[in-house]
Amino acid sequence: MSAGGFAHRAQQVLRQALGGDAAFRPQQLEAIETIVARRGRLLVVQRTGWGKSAVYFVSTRLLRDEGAGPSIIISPLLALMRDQIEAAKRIGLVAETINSSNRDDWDRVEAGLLSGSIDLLLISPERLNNTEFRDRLLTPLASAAGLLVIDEAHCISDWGHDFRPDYRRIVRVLDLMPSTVPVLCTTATANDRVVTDIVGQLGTGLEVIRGSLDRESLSLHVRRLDTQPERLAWLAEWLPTTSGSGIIYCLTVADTRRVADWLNARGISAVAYSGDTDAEVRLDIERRLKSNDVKVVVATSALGMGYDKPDLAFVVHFQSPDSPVAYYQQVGRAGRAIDRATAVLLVGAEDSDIWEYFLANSLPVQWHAEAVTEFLASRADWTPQRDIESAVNIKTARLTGLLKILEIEGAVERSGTSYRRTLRLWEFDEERVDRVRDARVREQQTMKDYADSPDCRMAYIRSTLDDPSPPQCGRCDNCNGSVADGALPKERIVEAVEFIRRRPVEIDPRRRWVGGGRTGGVALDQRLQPGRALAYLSDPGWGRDLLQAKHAGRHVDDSMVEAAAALVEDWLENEPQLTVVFVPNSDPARSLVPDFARRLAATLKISISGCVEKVAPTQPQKLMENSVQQFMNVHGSYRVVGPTPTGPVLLVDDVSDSRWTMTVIGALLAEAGVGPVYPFAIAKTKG
Amino acid sequence: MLDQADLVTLALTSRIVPSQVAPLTARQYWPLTRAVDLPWLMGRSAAEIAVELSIAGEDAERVARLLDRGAALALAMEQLEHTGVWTTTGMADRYPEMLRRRLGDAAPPLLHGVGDANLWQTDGVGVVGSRDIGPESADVAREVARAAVHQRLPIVSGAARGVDQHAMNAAFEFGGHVIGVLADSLERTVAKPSTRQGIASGQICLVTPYTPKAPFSAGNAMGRNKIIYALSRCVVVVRSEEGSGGTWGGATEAIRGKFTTVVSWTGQGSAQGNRALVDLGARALESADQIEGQIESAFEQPVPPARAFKADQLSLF
Repeated sequence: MSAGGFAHRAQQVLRQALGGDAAFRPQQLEAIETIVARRGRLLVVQRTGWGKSAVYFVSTRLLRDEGAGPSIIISPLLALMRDQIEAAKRIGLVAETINSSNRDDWDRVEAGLLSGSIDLLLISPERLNNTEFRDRLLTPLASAAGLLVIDEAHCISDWGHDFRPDYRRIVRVLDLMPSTVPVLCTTATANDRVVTDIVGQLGTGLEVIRGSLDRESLSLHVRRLDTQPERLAWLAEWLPTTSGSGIIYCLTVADTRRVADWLNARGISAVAYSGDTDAEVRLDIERRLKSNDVKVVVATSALGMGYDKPDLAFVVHFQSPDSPVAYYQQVGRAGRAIDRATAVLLVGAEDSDIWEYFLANSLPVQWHAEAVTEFLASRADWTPQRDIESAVNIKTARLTGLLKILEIEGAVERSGTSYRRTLRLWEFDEERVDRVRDARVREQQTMKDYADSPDCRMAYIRSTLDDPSPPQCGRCDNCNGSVADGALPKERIVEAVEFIRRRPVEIDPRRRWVGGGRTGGVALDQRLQPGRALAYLSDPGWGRDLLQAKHAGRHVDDSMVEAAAALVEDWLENEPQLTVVFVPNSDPARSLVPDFARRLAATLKISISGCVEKVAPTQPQKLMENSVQQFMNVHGSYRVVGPTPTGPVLLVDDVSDSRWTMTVIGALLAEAGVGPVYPFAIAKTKG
Repeated sequence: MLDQADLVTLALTSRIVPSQVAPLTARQYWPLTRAVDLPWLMGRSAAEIAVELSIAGEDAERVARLLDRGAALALAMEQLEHTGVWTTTGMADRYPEMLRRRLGDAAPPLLHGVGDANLWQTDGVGVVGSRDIGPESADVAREVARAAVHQRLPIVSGAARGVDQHAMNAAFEFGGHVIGVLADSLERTVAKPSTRQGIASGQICLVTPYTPKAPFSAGNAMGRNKIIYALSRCVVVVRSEEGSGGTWGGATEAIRGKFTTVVSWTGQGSAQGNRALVDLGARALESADQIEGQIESAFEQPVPPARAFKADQLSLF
């Protein structure tokens, strides 16, 4: 086909899809030509909304017409897949997805692949790393391959802020793919370093098409408000003055819930969304936001890449993200198809602490990695994760993350929840980890600089993403004055402080024993009731007060006892004859807990019992890195002595961390015929 | 690291992913490599292939269909690599040269394996024999292993029950090296903890010309025997029935094809086949104290020269 003929045909497909007068945007046709006519490999860096999907939809149609196999789109997020499937249908392509939430459809989708009736298959990188799933893909792929699309390709680069280990194996697959299979990598956010890294990993045959990152509708603002109550107050003041619906991004799951509850209490409809939210509930939330049924979705970065709501009016950051790439991506959700949208970055005092915590916990540690691989090598057979936890003192969440990285790197392989050392040579790549750490720290600094900068915000962000010579935007707070600097009424801040103090923090009972001679579920009659804490330990209110008291070795203030009493009265009003039992301590000098328990019982006018004794010393639970170790630390350290209370018990401690202490004592009390047991702690550590 | 020629070899010959047409056999593959630079085939239509190679349309169509499997193969190969199974093709530098010298166009186009592949860059001492054996045969297998380890030579064997197992276990115990050539189930074999530890220690290399999941078949077992002979400067037949069975078939084929020096045990525990092999041209090994001498003498024989292949017109399809 001649070049003109090709363009004409591509144009026809686009018009079939989008209507009579649709035309390609700049560089779209060029991309399609590279993929279809030259079967090339292409990296497209274009802002969200440029129309990457039009490129692979039209390419898929043209390739299918030439007899190629289905296009396979690898994308990390379900939200994106749902949007894409809808869009593909509109242009007459049969698109399907296989992911963890549509298990019932798998057989049908695989049959469709085999019969050739499916044009596009969307899958997550995690699925692609599933051995069984891969084996099932082989037959449909063995006859004729079509286009391969790697969405959010910046995840390939470990320079990128959200490098995903699952992408590393995709790079290896591409290495083994004959150069005749067309590959399209797309991303909305990649600076030069990331682009160079992607090209380096995917080979020099990779062509790059890169466009401008400006978004003309968006005005960027920054407001520094150190404390959470101030920021909550700001939201309560600002949101009612803003039309349309939007997203508030938080760094932690707990904060999404807190902010959403606060807004709802202020009569602003809000809903929390995070990786902990059920897949179906998430889908529903996305729909409600899209149809403006809810004013605000308070989300972690789980609501991210690919979510498409063209009329999103604002994005507020309750805490600052740790990278300009992440920030640009998140504000880029707003104002796609409307004239004006606002992004406000609220900068808090706790931001950099949270960044540090995430960074420290996300990077693999050499001795962890070596301890795990050596242990597995000595076993030389499938080993349950539980056994690894017993042998190696590493936090469960960290171990899970580490095993994932080791699996991707080919040091270990997984079957269900068991692991074994592979037959490959493997060494911990310390240099790589250092490199990544340095890059992250630089990104953090860029975010701090951004917040402090007197220059045009959009120009600043664009230049950090290597968009060449961006002009002044004329819309941001530094160009055109702030929309976010309204005064905060004192009473609103007081209300926010009160809200944080009153808000119950829940303690979920442990459901399973983890070793040390006790395995399986905690028997129902030995299980704790759902519990409460007054606050999170890291909270500026009660959390900080408790920490100060502990460090100074003094007792807590009356106000804390009163707040706890109010909470318990409210919470357990239907449990008469409640008795306070406290978690004992073998060191009489550390009397914070018994003192607090006595005063709490006095305030509540209920009895207190010293029926639990400590019989063996324990290490502080915070030194134990995982559940098995924590359990083994406290198991057998307590006993119940008479006389025991009859009826329900309020089990009191200062800080709830692993919950094993409370679980073990709860089971001992149950064995002695005491219960139900309600755990209560002044503060809970964040999980 | 697999290059484009390796990937084409995989697409043409591998059975690791399904195929609508039969993959090429060794005797179809090797002549093709002499007729065309393999990477050229990538992305070509059947018509282009037919013209370039002057072959029939349906043969060209078969080659083109095989090459369509590239994406599926990439997924399957990455999965194999991920678990530590490597792949060497006839196009690779590290493909053992002796396989081509001794087997010619019958040499396997593909090998999958685990462990240290450097072990096969020099010839080893092969040990073959029946699965069901008595204590005398087990002792002979152990003695051959002892002698090989003493001379710092790897033992090459079939990893089957009986003679193979005794020879390999002994070489391992004596601190030597072992090349196990599998006819089936590489994937299942490497699941055994003791095998994994041996592989990790660098003492064991397992290799198969078949897919890592291949089930046992008599045909594959015969194809495997060839490779044992081709990786060995001498092969000791510990016990063989006469006229039938894999050991007999493999030994007579090796003697006929002059693959390598065949040594047949004729002492305690030997069977009628052992004597018959001597009559066919195998060297007789009568007592254990002759073992080292036999190995030394075999290693003094010249290695087969590199073969010259004629780039004939392709008529093999």
